[in-house]
Amino acid sequence: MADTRSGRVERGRPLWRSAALAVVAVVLAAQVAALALGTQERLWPFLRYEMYVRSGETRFSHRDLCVRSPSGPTSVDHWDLAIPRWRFDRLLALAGGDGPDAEPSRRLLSRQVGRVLGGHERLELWRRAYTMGPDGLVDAHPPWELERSWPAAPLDSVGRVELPRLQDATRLRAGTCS
Amino acid sequence: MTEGPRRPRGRVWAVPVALLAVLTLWVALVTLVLPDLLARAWRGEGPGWLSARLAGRGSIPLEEYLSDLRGLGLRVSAMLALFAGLAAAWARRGVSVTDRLLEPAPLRDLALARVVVTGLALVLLLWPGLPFMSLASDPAYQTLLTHAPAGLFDPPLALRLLLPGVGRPAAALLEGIWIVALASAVLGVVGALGRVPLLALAWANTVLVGHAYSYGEYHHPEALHAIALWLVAIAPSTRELSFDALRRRAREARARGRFEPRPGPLLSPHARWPLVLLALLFAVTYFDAAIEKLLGGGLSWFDPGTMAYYMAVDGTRQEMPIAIWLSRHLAFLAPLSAGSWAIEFLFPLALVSVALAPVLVLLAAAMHVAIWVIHGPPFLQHVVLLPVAFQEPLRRVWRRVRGPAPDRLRVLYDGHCDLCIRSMTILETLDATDRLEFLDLEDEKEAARLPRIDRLEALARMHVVDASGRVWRGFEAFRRLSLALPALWPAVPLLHAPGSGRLGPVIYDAIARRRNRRGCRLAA
Repeated sequence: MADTRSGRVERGRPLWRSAALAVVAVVLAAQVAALALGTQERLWPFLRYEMYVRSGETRFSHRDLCVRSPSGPTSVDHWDLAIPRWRFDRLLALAGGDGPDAEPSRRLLSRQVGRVLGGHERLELWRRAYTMGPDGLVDAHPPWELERSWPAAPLDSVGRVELPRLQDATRLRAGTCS
Repeated sequence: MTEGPRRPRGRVWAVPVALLAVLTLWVALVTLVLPDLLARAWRGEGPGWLSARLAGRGSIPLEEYLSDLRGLGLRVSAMLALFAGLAAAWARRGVSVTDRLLEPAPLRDLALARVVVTGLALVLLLWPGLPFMSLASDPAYQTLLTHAPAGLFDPPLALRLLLPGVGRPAAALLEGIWIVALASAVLGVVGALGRVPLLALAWANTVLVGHAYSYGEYHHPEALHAIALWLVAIAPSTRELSFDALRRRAREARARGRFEPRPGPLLSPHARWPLVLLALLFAVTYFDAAIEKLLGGGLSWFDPGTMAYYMAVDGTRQEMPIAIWLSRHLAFLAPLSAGSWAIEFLFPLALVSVALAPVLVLLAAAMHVAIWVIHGPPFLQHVVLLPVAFQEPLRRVWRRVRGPAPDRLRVLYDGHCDLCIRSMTILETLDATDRLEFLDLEDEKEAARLPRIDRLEALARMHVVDASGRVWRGFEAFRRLSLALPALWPAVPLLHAPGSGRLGPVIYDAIARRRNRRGCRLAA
């Protein structure tokens, strides 16, 4: 505001001034606590800003979940299963592995497919493996490969759930179930 | 960055010295005391409770505990050093932390922050599907999440505190909260009903985003916006640029029986601290991002291969051609890596350097836009909130770029006419940039300042006069004001639409005649 006139100055009450300082101190302390403890999922909206901190990675993968019915395979995106995108990607990565979380992840995906899609015989996990070389990304379009396949759960007894459609529910990797 | 009155040296340096002492104690604790304590407890020689706690963690090796401790120690040390450095920089100029936060400042700055912060919430609620937008504001996405596997639901503390006893919210409840958020955002933008809608919006927004982040997925863009909504809700942000302020002034003018222009901006000790706190949170955000890169991989962030990896991951996942191209052209990535880290690391200087503040704010905003365009992560909230938190330095740059301030327009009014009193009160409330000067034609001294104006005609129709003496009358005066006042810019297309030049004066004259019937003394 380009005002050079002398303004009216309100004098805040001492109690409110102290309260304002307390708010500033508490907010900054909460932010530092979130940074220090790494409990960002607990203290949201106070977060640790550990973005892009990994280094030396030479491989990564993208996965796609397909459901196979007698009429053929269909690619399933995270919207179709009502699971947030990054969580869905992590679930697929776990389901494709051999660790202790692999089987529970596959079961969870099977159950959710049965609950919201139903009527499928098998779930297939397709994987695209990328490699980073000395000059960067080696191949931007490596082939999709079938990584795992497991039986789908039967349709939930409660019946199929009708999910709402979102404005930007675009499929990122449609048509990969070859 | 206006400096407050000079304080006694001891008081000014109290906070930075205290922070330095805390930092020293903290460093000693995490480097000397705690590692030894942990090692002894690991061997069963330490305090019983600590040994029991370590034993309960099973097979995690001691080295992992010590590594976690080092990371925690470094992060807290970095933040304490940051706060101590900022407080010391202010102290060097004779400004204490208390002064920096509570020095009286124009309430309009805070009110402008309210308009932008709540306006952003409104945009996110109305158009969640647009690129750059937040899915958490989409009621369909909220409903979708209620069908996610129950085992994934793991709410943050904020959701449990703000929706106590609810557990996993049902779709109908979330839709109701979305409606509350929408209505509150509209009231918040116009500044009606005081703090109530602002608190409701802050609550509803935190609940909606908290629910969206209850399924094991967290992102950063919404965090500062959520905090900013709470800050404008608890601070007196509706005292200016608001429907509430308009009503209050109209009531005062009615009680006085005349319109009296305000002598200057209203200053309050509670106008500055929310904005300084938001700026501090930005500094912490960027500084932590820079520190985490060093903690996570040492100097490898400066190896272009690191950024190439992230470009490749995001680019191939979302099929973004620029990111994929950059992931195969490392020569372009080295300056981007170093540049982005430098912006993050140096950003706290924006709080202490008048010269660097606008540069760093603009670079940070440009970095977010570039990140979105190149490989996807949307930080619209940060881009919008940065100018809100750093209004003063940006305004200083704007004044330098713009040159001398534009001359103020003189609005002539009839100080005894009810309609004029209301109109002038509205115009003064909307005049956020102080472009207007009000001259009461009933005051002979003031009227004498414009000898070439026909007083009777000016009493009949609104007159606006610029510094060169050019006069706009009636509807044309409204058109001129609509161009001068940013708050009226939404009306500019209507007031300048084809045909408005003929229709506008007819409507204006009809209202002016009605004004005459309502007790104002002169006919149009």
